[in-house]
Amino acid sequence: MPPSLRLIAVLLLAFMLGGCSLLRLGDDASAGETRDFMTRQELSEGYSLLYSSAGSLRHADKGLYLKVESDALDRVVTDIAAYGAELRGEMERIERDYPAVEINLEPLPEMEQRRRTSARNERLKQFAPLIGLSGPVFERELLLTLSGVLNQTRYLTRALAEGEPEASLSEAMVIQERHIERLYERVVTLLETQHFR
Amino acid sequence: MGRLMAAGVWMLATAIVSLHPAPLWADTVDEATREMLSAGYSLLYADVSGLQKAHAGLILKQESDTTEAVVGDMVSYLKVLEGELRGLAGAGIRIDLNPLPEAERRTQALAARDRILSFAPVIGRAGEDFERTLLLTLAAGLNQLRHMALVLEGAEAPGERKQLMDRAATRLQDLQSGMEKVLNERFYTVNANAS
Repeated sequence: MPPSLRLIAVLLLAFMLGGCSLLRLGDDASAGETRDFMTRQELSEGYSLLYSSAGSLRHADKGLYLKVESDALDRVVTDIAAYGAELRGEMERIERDYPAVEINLEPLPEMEQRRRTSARNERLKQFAPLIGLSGPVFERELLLTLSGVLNQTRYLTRALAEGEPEASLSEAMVIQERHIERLYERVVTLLETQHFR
Repeated sequence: MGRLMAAGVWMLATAIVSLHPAPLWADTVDEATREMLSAGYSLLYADVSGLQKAHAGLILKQESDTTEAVVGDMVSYLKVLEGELRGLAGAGIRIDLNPLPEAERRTQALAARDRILSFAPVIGRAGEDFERTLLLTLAAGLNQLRHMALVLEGAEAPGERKQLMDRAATRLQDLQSGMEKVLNERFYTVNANAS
Protein backbone atom coordinates (compact mmCIF):
# COMPACT_ATOMS: atom_id res chain seq x y z
CA MET A 1 0.00 0.00 0.00
CA PRO A 2 1.38 3.47 -0.87
CA PRO A 3 2.43 5.56 2.15
CA SER A 4 -0.30 8.15 1.51
CA LEU A 5 -2.97 5.47 1.57
CA ARG A 6 -1.46 4.03 4.72
CA LEU A 7 -1.70 7.41 6.36
CA ILE A 8 -5.34 7.74 5.34
CA ALA A 9 -6.05 4.26 6.63
CA VAL A 10 -4.52 5.07 9.99
CA LEU A 11 -6.38 8.36 10.18
CA LEU A 12 -9.67 6.65 9.43
CA LEU A 13 -8.97 4.03 12.03
CA ALA A 14 -8.39 6.77 14.55
CA PHE A 15 -11.99 7.94 14.23
CA MET A 16 -13.22 4.94 16.14
CA LEU A 17 -10.96 5.41 19.10
CA GLY A 18 -12.78 7.83 21.32
CA GLY A 19 -15.88 8.04 23.39
CA CYS A 20 -15.83 4.91 25.46
CA SER A 21 -17.93 5.17 28.56
CA LEU A 22 -16.53 5.59 31.99
CA LEU A 23 -18.06 4.34 35.19
CA ARG A 24 -20.24 7.40 35.55
CA LEU A 25 -21.76 6.41 38.84
CA GLY A 26 -22.16 10.01 39.85
CA ASP A 27 -25.22 10.11 37.64
CA ASP A 28 -28.41 8.29 38.41
CA ALA A 29 -27.44 4.72 37.63
CA SER A 30 -31.06 3.64 37.64
CA ALA A 31 -32.08 6.09 34.93
CA GLY A 32 -32.22 3.38 32.31
CA GLU A 33 -34.88 1.53 34.26
CA THR A 34 -37.45 4.22 33.74
CA ARG A 35 -39.54 4.56 30.64
CA ASP A 36 -39.30 8.33 30.60
CA PHE A 37 -39.34 9.42 27.02
CA MET A 38 -36.80 11.89 25.74
CA THR A 39 -37.76 15.06 23.89
CA ARG A 40 -37.38 15.08 20.11
CA GLN A 41 -34.36 17.36 20.43
CA GLU A 42 -32.70 15.01 22.96
CA LEU A 43 -33.43 12.06 20.71
CA SER A 44 -31.98 13.84 17.68
CA GLU A 45 -28.82 14.48 19.69
CA GLY A 46 -28.67 10.78 20.48
CA TYR A 47 -29.29 9.77 16.88
CA SER A 48 -26.52 12.13 15.84
CA LEU A 49 -24.12 10.44 18.28
CA LEU A 50 -25.16 7.07 16.88
CA TYR A 51 -24.69 8.25 13.30
CA SER A 52 -21.22 9.48 14.23
CA SER A 53 -20.35 6.13 15.85
CA ALA A 54 -21.56 4.30 12.75
CA GLY A 55 -19.26 6.47 10.64
CA SER A 56 -16.34 5.45 12.84
CA LEU A 57 -17.18 1.74 12.83
CA ARG A 58 -17.40 1.56 9.06
CA HIS A 59 -13.70 2.42 8.88
CA ALA A 60 -12.71 -0.19 11.45
CA ASP A 61 -11.08 -2.41 8.84
CA LYS A 62 -8.86 0.25 7.27
CA GLY A 63 -6.02 -0.28 9.70
CA LEU A 64 -5.94 -4.00 8.99
CA TYR A 65 -4.12 -3.51 5.71
CA LEU A 66 -1.19 -2.38 7.76
CA LYS A 67 -0.49 -5.22 10.15
CA VAL A 68 -3.19 -7.82 10.54
CA GLU A 69 -1.90 -11.32 11.21
CA SER A 70 -4.94 -13.32 12.29
CA ASP A 71 -7.78 -14.49 10.04
CA ALA A 72 -10.18 -14.45 12.97
CA LEU A 73 -9.41 -10.82 13.66
CA ASP A 74 -9.70 -9.98 9.99
CA ARG A 75 -13.16 -11.53 9.79
CA VAL A 76 -14.62 -9.82 12.83
CA VAL A 77 -13.19 -6.42 12.00
CA THR A 78 -14.39 -6.68 8.39
CA ASP A 79 -17.87 -7.54 9.68
CA ILE A 80 -17.80 -4.61 12.09
CA ALA A 81 -16.89 -2.27 9.24
CA ALA A 82 -19.69 -3.67 7.07
CA TYR A 83 -22.12 -3.22 9.93
CA GLY A 84 -20.97 0.37 10.47
CA ALA A 85 -21.80 1.15 6.84
CA GLU A 86 -25.16 -0.58 7.20
CA LEU A 87 -26.00 1.33 10.38
CA ARG A 88 -25.04 4.60 8.76
CA GLY A 89 -27.40 3.83 5.86
CA GLU A 90 -30.16 2.92 8.29
CA MET A 91 -29.75 6.21 10.15
CA GLU A 92 -29.93 8.12 6.86
CA ARG A 93 -33.09 6.22 5.96
CA ILE A 94 -34.60 7.14 9.34
CA GLU A 95 -33.79 10.79 8.77
CA ARG A 96 -35.48 10.66 5.35
CA ASP A 97 -38.59 8.83 6.61
CA TYR A 98 -39.00 10.84 9.81
CA PRO A 99 -38.61 14.57 9.13
CA ALA A 100 -38.48 15.37 12.86
CA VAL A 101 -35.33 13.29 13.29
CA GLU A 102 -31.92 14.94 12.84
CA ILE A 103 -28.65 13.01 12.67
CA ASN A 104 -26.06 15.72 12.06
CA LEU A 105 -26.08 17.59 15.37
CA GLU A 106 -22.94 18.01 17.49
CA PRO A 107 -24.30 17.76 21.02
CA LEU A 108 -21.13 17.11 22.99
CA PRO A 109 -19.61 20.05 24.90
CA GLU A 110 -16.36 21.46 23.60
CA MET A 111 -14.15 19.98 26.33
CA GLU A 112 -15.59 16.51 25.86
CA GLN A 113 -14.93 16.77 22.13
CA ARG A 114 -11.36 17.81 22.85
CA ARG A 115 -10.92 14.95 25.31
CA ARG A 116 -12.04 12.40 22.74
CA THR A 117 -9.78 13.91 20.11
CA SER A 118 -6.85 13.79 22.52
CA ALA A 119 -7.48 10.10 23.25
CA ARG A 120 -7.84 9.33 19.52
CA ASN A 121 -4.59 11.05 18.65
CA GLU A 122 -2.70 9.15 21.30
CA ARG A 123 -4.09 5.82 20.09
CA LEU A 124 -3.25 6.85 16.54
CA LYS A 125 0.40 6.93 17.53
CA GLN A 126 0.12 3.49 19.12
CA PHE A 127 -1.29 2.05 15.90
CA ALA A 128 1.01 3.90 13.53
CA PRO A 129 2.92 1.86 10.93
CA LEU A 130 6.54 0.99 11.73
CA ILE A 131 6.77 2.86 15.01
CA GLY A 132 3.49 1.67 16.56
CA LEU A 133 2.36 -1.62 18.04
CA SER A 134 2.52 -4.78 15.99
CA GLY A 135 1.66 -8.47 16.13
CA PRO A 136 -0.45 -9.90 18.96
CA VAL A 137 -0.17 -6.74 21.07
CA PHE A 138 -1.52 -4.63 18.20
CA GLU A 139 -4.37 -7.09 17.69
CA ARG A 140 -5.22 -7.15 21.40
CA GLU A 141 -5.26 -3.37 21.67
CA LEU A 142 -7.39 -3.10 18.53
CA LEU A 143 -9.88 -5.61 19.94
CA LEU A 144 -9.98 -3.85 23.30
CA THR A 145 -10.62 -0.57 21.52
CA LEU A 146 -13.37 -2.06 19.37
CA SER A 147 -14.99 -3.71 22.36
CA GLY A 148 -15.16 -0.30 24.05
CA VAL A 149 -16.69 1.39 21.01
CA LEU A 150 -19.23 -1.40 20.45
CA ASN A 151 -20.12 -1.46 24.14
CA GLN A 152 -20.75 2.27 24.18
CA THR A 153 -22.75 2.11 20.96
CA ARG A 154 -25.01 -0.72 22.11
CA TYR A 155 -25.89 1.17 25.28
CA LEU A 156 -26.63 4.23 23.20
CA THR A 157 -29.08 2.25 21.05
CA ARG A 158 -30.70 0.90 24.21
CA ALA A 159 -31.03 4.38 25.68
CA LEU A 160 -32.61 5.58 22.43
CA ALA A 161 -34.97 2.59 22.28
CA GLU A 162 -36.12 3.29 25.83
CA GLY A 163 -36.42 7.03 25.35
CA GLU A 164 -38.17 6.96 21.96
CA PRO A 165 -41.98 7.33 22.10
CA GLU A 166 -42.43 6.43 18.41
CA ALA A 167 -42.81 2.64 18.42
CA SER A 168 -41.31 1.99 14.98
CA LEU A 169 -38.19 4.01 15.80
CA SER A 170 -37.86 2.36 19.18
CA GLU A 171 -38.05 -1.05 17.51
CA ALA A 172 -35.43 0.03 14.96
CA MET A 173 -33.05 0.80 17.83
CA VAL A 174 -33.76 -2.55 19.50
CA ILE A 175 -32.82 -4.30 16.24
CA GLN A 176 -29.56 -2.35 16.05
CA GLU A 177 -28.75 -3.17 19.65
CA ARG A 178 -29.06 -6.88 18.84
CA HIS A 179 -26.71 -6.52 15.85
CA ILE A 180 -24.15 -4.69 17.96
CA GLU A 181 -24.50 -7.16 20.82
CA ARG A 182 -23.56 -10.04 18.49
CA LEU A 183 -20.47 -8.22 17.21
CA TYR A 184 -19.47 -7.27 20.73
CA GLU A 185 -19.70 -10.89 21.86
CA ARG A 186 -17.49 -11.99 18.96
CA VAL A 187 -14.85 -9.43 19.91
CA VAL A 188 -14.95 -10.47 23.57
CA THR A 189 -14.71 -14.15 22.61
CA LEU A 190 -11.61 -13.45 20.53
CA LEU A 191 -10.03 -11.57 23.42
CA GLU A 192 -10.82 -14.34 25.87
CA THR A 193 -9.65 -17.19 23.68
CA GLN A 194 -6.56 -15.64 22.14
CA HIS A 195 -5.35 -12.76 24.26
CA PHE A 196 -6.37 -13.40 27.87
CA ARG A 197 -4.92 -16.12 30.06
CA MET B 1 -22.54 52.85 60.63
CA GLY B 2 -21.04 53.20 57.17
CA ARG B 3 -17.59 52.39 58.55
CA LEU B 4 -18.96 49.35 60.33
CA MET B 5 -20.52 48.08 57.11
CA ALA B 6 -17.35 48.72 55.17
CA ALA B 7 -15.33 46.84 57.79
CA GLY B 8 -17.80 43.98 57.63
CA VAL B 9 -17.59 43.80 53.84
CA TRP B 10 -13.79 43.88 54.01
CA MET B 11 -13.67 41.09 56.60
CA LEU B 12 -16.08 39.00 54.55
CA ALA B 13 -14.06 39.54 51.39
CA THR B 14 -10.86 38.63 53.23
CA ALA B 15 -12.44 35.48 54.58
CA ILE B 16 -13.66 34.42 51.15
CA VAL B 17 -10.30 35.05 49.51
CA SER B 18 -8.51 33.11 52.26
CA LEU B 19 -10.58 30.06 51.41
CA HIS B 20 -9.21 29.88 47.89
CA PRO B 21 -5.68 28.94 46.87
CA ALA B 22 -5.65 31.55 44.10
CA PRO B 23 -7.08 35.07 44.42
CA LEU B 24 -10.18 35.66 42.34
CA TRP B 25 -8.59 38.49 40.38
CA ALA B 26 -5.76 36.26 39.21
CA ASP B 27 -8.17 34.49 36.85
CA THR B 28 -7.42 35.90 33.43
CA VAL B 29 -9.64 33.78 31.21
CA ASP B 30 -12.66 35.35 29.52
CA GLU B 31 -16.24 34.40 30.30
CA ALA B 32 -16.70 32.04 27.34
CA THR B 33 -13.50 30.19 28.20
CA ARG B 34 -14.52 30.04 31.85
CA GLU B 35 -17.82 28.39 30.89
CA MET B 36 -16.00 25.90 28.68
CA LEU B 37 -13.54 25.14 31.48
CA SER B 38 -16.36 24.76 34.00
CA ALA B 39 -17.94 22.13 31.77
CA GLY B 40 -14.62 20.29 31.61
CA TYR B 41 -13.94 20.48 35.35
CA SER B 42 -17.49 19.33 36.04
CA LEU B 43 -17.02 16.28 33.82
CA LEU B 44 -13.67 15.53 35.43
CA TYR B 45 -15.09 15.89 38.94
CA ALA B 46 -18.05 13.62 38.16
CA ASP B 47 -15.76 10.96 36.71
CA VAL B 48 -13.30 11.14 39.62
CA SER B 49 -16.20 10.67 42.04
CA GLY B 50 -17.64 7.90 39.87
CA LEU B 51 -14.46 5.84 39.83
CA GLN B 52 -14.18 6.09 43.60
CA LYS B 53 -17.76 4.97 44.08
CA ALA B 54 -17.13 2.12 41.68
CA HIS B 55 -14.39 0.76 43.85
CA ALA B 56 -16.34 1.34 47.07
CA GLY B 57 -18.95 -1.08 45.75
CA LEU B 58 -16.36 -3.73 45.03
CA ILE B 59 -14.67 -4.17 48.37
CA LEU B 60 -16.56 -7.38 49.08
CA LYS B 61 -14.77 -9.09 46.22
CA GLN B 62 -11.44 -10.74 46.83
CA GLU B 63 -8.58 -9.06 45.01
CA SER B 64 -5.02 -10.30 44.77
CA ASP B 65 -2.28 -8.31 46.51
CA THR B 66 -1.00 -6.83 43.26
CA THR B 67 -4.45 -5.73 42.13
CA GLU B 68 -5.29 -4.43 45.56
CA ALA B 69 -2.11 -2.35 45.57
CA VAL B 70 -2.71 -0.59 42.25
CA VAL B 71 -6.41 -0.06 42.96
CA GLY B 72 -5.56 1.25 46.43
CA ASP B 73 -3.11 3.75 44.91
CA MET B 74 -5.80 4.91 42.52
CA VAL B 75 -8.41 5.39 45.21
CA SER B 76 -5.97 7.31 47.43
CA TYR B 77 -5.03 9.69 44.64
CA LEU B 78 -8.58 10.20 43.40
CA LYS B 79 -9.56 11.31 46.90
CA VAL B 80 -6.81 13.91 46.78
CA LEU B 81 -7.79 15.05 43.30
CA GLU B 82 -11.45 15.23 44.26
CA GLY B 83 -10.54 17.56 47.11
CA GLU B 84 -8.38 19.70 44.85
CA LEU B 85 -11.20 20.01 42.35
CA ARG B 86 -13.62 21.00 45.11
CA GLY B 87 -11.14 23.72 46.00
CA LEU B 88 -11.58 25.21 42.53
CA ALA B 89 -15.32 25.60 42.94
CA GLY B 90 -16.29 29.16 43.59
CA ALA B 91 -13.06 30.65 42.31
CA GLY B 92 -14.71 31.50 39.02
CA ILE B 93 -15.03 27.83 38.13
CA ARG B 94 -17.96 25.47 38.60
CA ILE B 95 -17.72 21.72 39.05
CA ASP B 96 -21.43 20.96 39.38
CA LEU B 97 -22.55 21.31 35.76
CA ASN B 98 -23.94 18.41 33.77
CA PRO B 99 -23.11 19.42 30.21
CA LEU B 100 -23.56 16.06 28.49
CA PRO B 101 -26.61 15.55 26.29
CA GLU B 102 -29.43 13.48 27.77
CA ALA B 103 -28.84 10.52 25.44
CA GLU B 104 -25.20 10.34 26.52
CA ARG B 105 -26.13 10.54 30.21
CA ARG B 106 -28.60 7.70 29.83
CA THR B 107 -26.06 5.68 27.85
CA GLN B 108 -23.49 6.02 30.60
CA ALA B 109 -26.02 5.22 33.32
CA LEU B 110 -27.05 2.02 31.51
CA ALA B 111 -23.43 0.99 31.02
CA ALA B 112 -22.61 1.71 34.66
CA ARG B 113 -25.58 -0.28 35.91
CA ASP B 114 -24.61 -3.34 33.87
CA ARG B 115 -21.00 -3.03 34.95
CA ILE B 116 -22.01 -2.93 38.59
CA LEU B 117 -24.11 -6.07 38.11
CA SER B 118 -21.22 -7.82 36.41
CA PHE B 119 -19.07 -7.08 39.46
CA ALA B 120 -21.76 -7.84 42.03
CA PRO B 121 -20.86 -10.15 44.90
CA VAL B 122 -22.04 -13.75 44.44
CA ILE B 123 -23.83 -13.32 41.09
CA GLY B 124 -21.15 -11.39 39.20
CA ARG B 125 -17.71 -12.19 37.88
CA ALA B 126 -15.28 -13.92 40.17
CA GLY B 127 -11.60 -14.69 40.56
CA GLU B 128 -9.25 -13.92 37.69
CA ASP B 129 -12.10 -12.85 35.43
CA PHE B 130 -13.24 -10.32 38.01
CA GLU B 131 -9.76 -8.91 38.52
CA ARG B 132 -8.98 -8.63 34.83
CA THR B 133 -12.28 -6.92 34.08
CA LEU B 134 -11.85 -4.62 37.05
CA LEU B 135 -8.36 -3.58 35.95
CA LEU B 136 -9.43 -3.10 32.33
CA THR B 137 -12.36 -0.96 33.42
CA LEU B 138 -10.35 1.16 35.83
CA ALA B 139 -7.44 1.59 33.39
CA ALA B 140 -9.90 2.81 30.73
CA GLY B 141 -11.43 5.15 33.29
CA LEU B 142 -8.04 6.55 34.26
CA ASN B 143 -7.28 7.07 30.59
CA GLN B 144 -10.39 9.20 30.21
CA LEU B 145 -9.56 11.22 33.31
CA ARG B 146 -6.02 11.76 32.06
CA HIS B 147 -7.13 13.06 28.69
CA MET B 148 -9.60 15.43 30.29
CA ALA B 149 -6.80 16.71 32.56
CA LEU B 150 -4.60 17.14 29.48
CA VAL B 151 -7.15 19.16 27.52
CA LEU B 152 -7.96 21.27 30.57
CA GLU B 153 -4.27 21.96 31.07
CA GLY B 154 -4.04 22.95 27.42
CA ALA B 155 -7.01 25.29 27.66
CA GLU B 156 -5.96 26.99 30.90
CA ALA B 157 -4.10 30.26 31.23
CA PRO B 158 -0.83 30.03 33.17
CA GLY B 159 -1.56 29.68 36.88
CA GLU B 160 -2.44 27.27 39.64
CA ARG B 161 -5.22 25.50 37.80
CA LYS B 162 -2.97 24.79 34.84
CA GLN B 163 -0.31 23.42 37.18
CA LEU B 164 -2.89 21.32 38.97
CA MET B 165 -4.05 19.74 35.71
CA ASP B 166 -0.46 19.14 34.62
CA ARG B 167 0.29 17.30 37.88
CA ALA B 168 -2.98 15.37 37.64
CA ALA B 169 -2.26 14.19 34.09
CA THR B 170 1.17 12.94 35.15
CA ARG B 171 -0.13 11.14 38.23
CA LEU B 172 -3.05 9.59 36.31
CA GLN B 173 -0.59 8.34 33.69
CA ASP B 174 1.47 6.65 36.43
CA LEU B 175 -1.60 4.97 37.88
CA GLN B 176 -2.79 3.81 34.47
CA SER B 177 0.65 2.41 33.68
CA GLY B 178 0.64 0.53 36.98
CA MET B 179 -2.63 -1.18 36.11
CA GLU B 180 -1.47 -1.99 32.58
CA LYS B 181 1.68 -3.53 34.03
CA VAL B 182 -0.37 -5.92 36.17
CA LEU B 183 -2.61 -6.71 33.19
CA ASN B 184 0.39 -7.51 31.02
CA GLU B 185 2.16 -9.61 33.61
CA ARG B 186 -0.78 -11.58 34.95
CA PHE B 187 -3.69 -11.52 32.53
CA TYR B 188 -2.46 -11.21 28.93
CA THR B 189 -0.97 -14.05 26.91
CA VAL B 190 1.62 -11.65 25.47
CA ASN B 191 3.32 -9.11 27.70
CA ALA B 192 3.72 -5.86 25.78
CA ASN B 193 6.48 -4.79 28.15
CA ALA B 194 8.61 -7.93 27.79
CA SER B 195 11.87 -7.34 26.02
